[in-house]
Amino acid sequence: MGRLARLRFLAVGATIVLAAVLCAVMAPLLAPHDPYLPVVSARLIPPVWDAGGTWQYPLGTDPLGRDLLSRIIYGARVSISAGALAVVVAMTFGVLMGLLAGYYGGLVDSIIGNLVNVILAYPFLLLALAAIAALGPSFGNMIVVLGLTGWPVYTRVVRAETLKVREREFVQAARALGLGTARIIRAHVLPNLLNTIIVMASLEVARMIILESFLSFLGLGIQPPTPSWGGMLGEGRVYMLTHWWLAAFPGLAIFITTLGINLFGDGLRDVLDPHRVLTPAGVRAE
Amino acid sequence: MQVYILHRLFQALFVCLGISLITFFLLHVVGDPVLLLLPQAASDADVALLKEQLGLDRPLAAQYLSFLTDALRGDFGRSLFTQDSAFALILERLPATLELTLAGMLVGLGIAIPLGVISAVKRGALTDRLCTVGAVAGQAMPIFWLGIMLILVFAVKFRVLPASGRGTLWHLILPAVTLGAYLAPLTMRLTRSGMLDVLTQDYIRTARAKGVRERVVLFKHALRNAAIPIVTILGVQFGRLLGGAVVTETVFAWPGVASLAVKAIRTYDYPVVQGAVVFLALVVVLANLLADVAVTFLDPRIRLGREHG
Repeated sequence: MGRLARLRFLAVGATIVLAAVLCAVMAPLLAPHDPYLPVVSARLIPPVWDAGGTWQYPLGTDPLGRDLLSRIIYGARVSISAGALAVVVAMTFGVLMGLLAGYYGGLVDSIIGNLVNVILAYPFLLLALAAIAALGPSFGNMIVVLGLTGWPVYTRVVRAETLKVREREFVQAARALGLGTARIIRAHVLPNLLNTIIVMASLEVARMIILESFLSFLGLGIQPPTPSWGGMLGEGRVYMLTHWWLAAFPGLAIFITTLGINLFGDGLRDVLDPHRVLTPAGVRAE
Repeated sequence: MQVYILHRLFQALFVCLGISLITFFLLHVVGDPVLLLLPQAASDADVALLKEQLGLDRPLAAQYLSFLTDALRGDFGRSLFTQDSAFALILERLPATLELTLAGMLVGLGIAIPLGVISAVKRGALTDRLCTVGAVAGQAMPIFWLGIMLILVFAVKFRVLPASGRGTLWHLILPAVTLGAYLAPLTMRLTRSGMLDVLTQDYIRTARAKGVRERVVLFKHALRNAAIPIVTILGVQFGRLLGGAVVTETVFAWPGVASLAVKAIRTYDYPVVQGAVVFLALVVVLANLLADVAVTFLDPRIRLGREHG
């Protein structure tokens, strides 16, 4: 595929991501209705183009008479913040472990390496589900669980890259000059890994959003009445046979957002990190 | 080769041990089964009594050891609610999960490999671009939503396929398509890039120059070599496939091991949770191991290289 086409993907992705972030930040300004306010007279109104729909509720209302569009706009807050925070937790921990394993090697490397193997072999979703079951469902617990189950991807890649960087002349020169390990890692190793990490993290946000949605879909993530796309999809599923829009639109919001993030991340990789190809390390059990 | 397989076996054993330890730690240390099982108003005496009944008053190390030795004998304890053996419950539901994952894999590979090959052969053409766009969209698709949309279209709107449950081949179609759609995008991209690498090799040019038919070149010379990374990935993907099965089984009320685990997690039926989770993780480890061994058969370089190395 041509470079121009890829740049176009990057632009489309960036636009979608920006729109989703704007929705999250400016939800009170953008939402036409209060997402929490039930209106008994407006229960289960279909979307505007269906028979019985009205422009007052463009995407229809839920069984409590709450505006679906407003709830989806507010739902962006949960998904975007959960995705971003989970990635920050996973990235921080994963990068640290990768740097330690790659830089020190030996026993440290083999302990971390084995831990990574164990977590990667573990069906990710089941691990997350078991952890949520043990901790109890809440926003904070979900971030911790997603973060602590999502770190090995970074560790693998960062370890491999650190091994390469460690042997380069400038790192050896720094070591010969007597610089401390922490300083070498911070000033010489980490900056060289930054592009790779940024690309991985941007793609991981999409995966975390999907996982968050699924946990909320099962009722193990964000608790009602807080609007979250996954939670709304879970509620909508119950009414699926008679009121299709309740499940269709929240899922569409997830899909468009993750698509935007993936296009953005793929494009970013072409710009920042053109040599990296899709390797088994980037593929991971869920 | 034996050394390599032994090494991988040892590694797999270690991973299994780690998985059992993490599961045990999560369910017994992070979460307290007794507090979650009893109502909040329960007295300390009630708590102590239930702990004793469940054997949870013993030291953690002793509990873990007996969990491990029991698990080795296929005994994961009894469901707290139905008193059925957790292992029996898992075995009872295993065929459904196997059926779903195999069907999902067939659908996924059935879509991904031909499209990946076509995409690589017609590199840059409209077909290739459409396939790439499809793969990008497919990777972003939350499959629980895809499953629900398929139900909306084929079960609710057109009423041609059942929405949930298991039984006939018709019941299998929507779940298998959902799971296949989850597996296909990544496999397609890997097949495409694997084929692209292989198609530029000298032996392909030689085969073409000899006048070997294009179909034979593609499927006998090229795909066989491109299969090596694909099989490795499939092993790794098996974990993803089971993750996808968790989602698919939940959406379609498919009576498999994954939905059993999800249900048990919701009710904190910890013997069933730890049984199902450890069991599924073992299946993943086994699949990875088999994929590694399969690759050594596909690629004599690995087999022979390991023997000397």
